[in-house]
Amino acid sequence: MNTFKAVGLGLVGFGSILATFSYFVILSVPLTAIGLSFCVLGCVVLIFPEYLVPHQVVKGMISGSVANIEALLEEFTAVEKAIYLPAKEGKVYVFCPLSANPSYPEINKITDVPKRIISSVDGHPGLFIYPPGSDVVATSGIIEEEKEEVENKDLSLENFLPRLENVIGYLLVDFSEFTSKVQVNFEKNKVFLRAKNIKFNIDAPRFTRVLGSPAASLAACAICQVSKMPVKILEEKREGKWIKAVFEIKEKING
Amino acid sequence: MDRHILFIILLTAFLFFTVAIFAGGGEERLDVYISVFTIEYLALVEILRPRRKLITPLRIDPVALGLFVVFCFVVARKVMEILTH
Repeated sequence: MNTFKAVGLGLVGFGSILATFSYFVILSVPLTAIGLSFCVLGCVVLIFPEYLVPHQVVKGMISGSVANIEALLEEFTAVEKAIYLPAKEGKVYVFCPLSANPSYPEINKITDVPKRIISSVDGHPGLFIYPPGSDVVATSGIIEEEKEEVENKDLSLENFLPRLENVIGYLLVDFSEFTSKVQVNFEKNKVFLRAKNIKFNIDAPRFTRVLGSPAASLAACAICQVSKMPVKILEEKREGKWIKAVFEIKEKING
Repeated sequence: MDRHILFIILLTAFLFFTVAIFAGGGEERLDVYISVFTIEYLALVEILRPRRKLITPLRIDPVALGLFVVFCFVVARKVMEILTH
């Protein structure tokens, strides 16, 4: 049993005994309330995550990952917007068309080719990269819950879009702590994201240009995972404390 | 300061100050204490948004749910009391 659980159970146990004893034996309401306070605090400790990784550590690890991708994109002078693709193994990956032939092949053909760093898809060379957000989405657990529902229904775009706000909000605000507030709107196959107070900024212009900022990239991964459809970040701009990003959901992958 | 630690410190302070103030004012209704605890908890969760294990698949906070159920029970009892008198 870890420390959090032991402290939580201790508080709940002590609170329950104090509250019961005070209510039925001493007949004191304030003492009963104190007992209930202990119970509430114990429950709060029990539902807290067991491992609170310091934010700086996470930030440092993401920065390192972004720096690697930035170097790779710089090396191949990739400038075109990447396409986020849903993977069967649970991790989202992106296809970045290379500048030598900056057009996009058919989505079905991209998913069929072997996932090497550099692959040629129907004559279009491109990079296959796992963005930092693909792992964050997978480890958050939120998509696992969504997945069952998605698999059980033949979802159209309108069915899953409202659920996206919940998923993106949880991932960006609660789980990764990248922003303090998000607003998500939808129009046809486009998702409009507004995020306030971005707490994590990186100096990686090529990464931001191709894959979007880390927050937008994470949101794209979430949209991709939930919808099981390819996603492209059309534009991203900063307006004071807010950043605005527009995502386009491409046609569904067959098979 | 980490928001999770801040959340626990603030919640502890709020709960015990509530008890101290209400007890000092001679409040003897347990439902008043529970109602205020519920409001304080929900307000702090909304402000600090600590990460916590939620009940799936609806992603409900179990403590908030528990407090809300007790709060509803208290309100329902009050309504019944008023109606029967």
